[in-house]
Amino acid sequence: MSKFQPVAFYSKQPESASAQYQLLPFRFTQLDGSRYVATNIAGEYTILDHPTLQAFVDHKLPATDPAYVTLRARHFLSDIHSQMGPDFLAIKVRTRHERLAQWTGLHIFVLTLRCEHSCPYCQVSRQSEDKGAFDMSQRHAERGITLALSSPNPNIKIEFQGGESFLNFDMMKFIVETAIAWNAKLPQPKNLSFVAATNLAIITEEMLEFCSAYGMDISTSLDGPKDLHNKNRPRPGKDSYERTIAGIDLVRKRLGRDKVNALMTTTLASLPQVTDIVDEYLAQGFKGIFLRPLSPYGFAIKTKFFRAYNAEQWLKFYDDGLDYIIELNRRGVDFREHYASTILTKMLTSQDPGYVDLMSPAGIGLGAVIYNYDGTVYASDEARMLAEMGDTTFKLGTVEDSFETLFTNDTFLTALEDSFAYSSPQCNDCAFEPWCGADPVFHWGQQQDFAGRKWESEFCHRNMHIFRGLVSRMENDPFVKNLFAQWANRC
Amino acid sequence: MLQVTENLKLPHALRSKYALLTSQVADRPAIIPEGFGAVLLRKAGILQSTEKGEDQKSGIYLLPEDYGYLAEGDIVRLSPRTEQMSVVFRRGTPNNSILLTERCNHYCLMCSQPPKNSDDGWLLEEAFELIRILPGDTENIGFTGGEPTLYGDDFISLIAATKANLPNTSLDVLSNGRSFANEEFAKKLAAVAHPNFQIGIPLYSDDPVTHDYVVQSKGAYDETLQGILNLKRFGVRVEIRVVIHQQTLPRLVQTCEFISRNLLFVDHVALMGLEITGFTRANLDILWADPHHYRNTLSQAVYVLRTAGMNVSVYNHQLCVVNKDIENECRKAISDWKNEYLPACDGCTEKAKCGGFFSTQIMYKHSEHIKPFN
Amino acid sequence: MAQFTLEFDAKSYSLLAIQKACHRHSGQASFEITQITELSSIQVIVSPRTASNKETLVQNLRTEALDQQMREVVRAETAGVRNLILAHAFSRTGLIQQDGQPPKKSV
Repeated sequence: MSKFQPVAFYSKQPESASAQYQLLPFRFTQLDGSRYVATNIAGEYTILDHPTLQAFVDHKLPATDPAYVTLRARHFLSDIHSQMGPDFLAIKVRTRHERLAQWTGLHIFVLTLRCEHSCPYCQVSRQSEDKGAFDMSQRHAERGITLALSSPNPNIKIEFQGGESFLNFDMMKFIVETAIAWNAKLPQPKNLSFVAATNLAIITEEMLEFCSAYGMDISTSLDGPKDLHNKNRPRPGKDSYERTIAGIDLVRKRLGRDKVNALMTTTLASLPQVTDIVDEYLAQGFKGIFLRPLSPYGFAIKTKFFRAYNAEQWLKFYDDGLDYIIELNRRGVDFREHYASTILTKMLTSQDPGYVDLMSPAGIGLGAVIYNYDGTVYASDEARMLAEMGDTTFKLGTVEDSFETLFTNDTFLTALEDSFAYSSPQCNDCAFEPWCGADPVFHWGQQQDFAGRKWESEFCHRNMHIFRGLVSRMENDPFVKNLFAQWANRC
Repeated sequence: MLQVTENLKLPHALRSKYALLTSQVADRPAIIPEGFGAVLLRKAGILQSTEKGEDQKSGIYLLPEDYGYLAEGDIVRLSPRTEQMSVVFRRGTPNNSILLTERCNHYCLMCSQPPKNSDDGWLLEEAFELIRILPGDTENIGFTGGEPTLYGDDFISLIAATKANLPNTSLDVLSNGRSFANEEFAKKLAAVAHPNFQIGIPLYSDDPVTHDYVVQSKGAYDETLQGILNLKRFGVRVEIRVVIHQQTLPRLVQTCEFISRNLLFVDHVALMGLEITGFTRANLDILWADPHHYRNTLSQAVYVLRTAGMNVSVYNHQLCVVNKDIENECRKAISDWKNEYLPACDGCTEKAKCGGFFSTQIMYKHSEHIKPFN
Repeated sequence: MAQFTLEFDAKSYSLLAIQKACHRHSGQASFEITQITELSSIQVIVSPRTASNKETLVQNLRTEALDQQMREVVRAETAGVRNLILAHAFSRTGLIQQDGQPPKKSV
């Protein structure tokens, strides 16, 4: 019988001297005082201290260093033992970008600007009874549907917004029925889904019937416990919260437990109350919450709501909220934070969560497009809000334009190219770039520059803080590492 | 190779292909029907007149006690010269393994079928013959070795013949996958388009040095991975197998992380406990690990794969030595007739669910923490 | 805070690395970068914008310069294989099953 060879026999690298290896593309950024986050071209990360990083780059790392084995397994290097790194990296990069060719899955129809709420942070609503002035016409709706069905994406989601979308329920019905009918006639019909953004204050049985019949999802606003919510979202009767809760209940009964989700907006008043807000979502039976900052558009700017708090204050709000949610999970409650989940999907898998605000190339136009009540077409909701403030840079055209004209709009293409993170200064160096995105509308609005000077950018500052925070939490606590793996895989 | 039958009245025209299985009662003279390929006697009878089969057309064989399970429909191979018999197929067993060769280009530390460099192409021929006589309603068969793909194109032909002769039988092949690093070869296998086929390929570490060491072959890691990629590229179902022991435990979790990041498209991952046979016994001191001691590592490994949405199974682990959180992934051992239990298992409420032990585990080495559930 | 000058050894740092390091700190200072070939050094005149700690700024600049230099090395060494990987990733030869289709999991 032949003898068995010891493990040393299979190692072709010297024991104590530097190993022979080739670097594979990677980037690194400081995590904290002593550690760096390094990411490979597919966005997988590993943590290195500075001396190890230096030795690695200088080709002085020995094969016996535990970091070496990890770096090879995670495709940061090739050596005589394995040359498969580039193949696997190519597969992972390809998987992540698979959806690029199937652009624009989300088509937003602004049915009306009318709304009976008067939320101070709202971008667009009008208090008005004048349907003629502020409602979407049938002609515009039809053109919008044609454009939506022209999109290459096999899955088309039509989202109704406003104002209060149900104030133009007739048009909602028309669009749903027409879209379904026209879709059926396509040589390759799309997978259609519908969602209505609504404050639920005026929802009726008839509306619920309709939503149920067409499997429509409902997206509503819940800013937190009653006092906070009503303070943020005034309406005649001062009962926004009560109506929202009643509406959520009704929707669950009629449409199903999982057919309604809620979004919150953070105001100055929200800042000290993050655990209360999370508790409110828990109490209302939601499985998670999306902790969002206030976007700097529309009334928010006008009323100086946006500048009411700065990035640091919001980040504290976010961190406290996330830590509280982690605690809940430690106590056995299944509840997640959706912004973190979205980022974690990018960090821990090769999937693309398709979240419009964290895409590069930017999600404007490519992730979502918006058909305004007056027939104008914008590259994103934020682009529409910017237009409301007088800046129409991101107007693609009108619904009378052809699909090709809209999507080859010069400014749009320039914005996509200039803001592309992989080639933007600073971003192209950044280890977090695979997890991040491009936001040309925000940077244009703030800095008059599609790419933005990232050291001044709250978008950059906020995201880097969150990336570092997620990595640190995972590295410091195996429970969180496992919890985040679940969030990343949406299971 | 003969099919086993108990039918004394089998038509003469068929008898040469059959082995008659019969019992003898001690005080009645033997009545041996003529024309059978062989006669298998369950117990010793009065055989004076047929000693050594000198004036018999059929050979008569005495069945030892441990072949007591032989039954109608089984298939045996008899070597009259060496007076040896092996059971090639058992009708009552859901999963039959057919050995194609003992040759192998690996030399795994824990190999349960130690390689022999003999000219055993006759095993392949026999396999071709076997699939022609296996009952059409056979649920599943497996081809093993050694390394079955060493036969090259003949291996492909066998798969094609199996598809043609047993279209309703699922087929599992165990292979180190390296032959499929050759794209053409992988394409040929995929082209057979067997309707229910899976190839099980071991990967023992995300670290190439460790993997090469466990299989005792330099360069195994990259070729195996390339083989897996090619097979998946052409749509062949692939299972990755990881045997758990001292050498694979230190990076078991990292290996599963590697699989979940790089081989997410693989159809199944099997985490397997040691069978104490073959080379495992010789290398026990560098292989053995008590499952009870590594139960948390195993749980974490399963967690990583399961969370990533992969299909995972755990084999050859008794339920009392693993954590409850992987009970959904634990499977009863494949071959019922290999299962045994310890006296310590008496009264265990989970006995029916648990796979028990390999007889080799009972005999040579098992966990020291076996405890009945009550 | 008053202006001050930093010197970098041109044998250890590329001009590009220094430029990038400064660029990253544009929020905190403006920079004038000069190459002094005779002395084989790169001179940076730092005009701080904010009243932050000078020591911290210097430390950060030096660390960032080192890191940028490392990035140069990595970039140069991996340019070829990076292009290969990206070309492979976006080519039409199916890496897994058919073109652009994610592999289907068997039942």
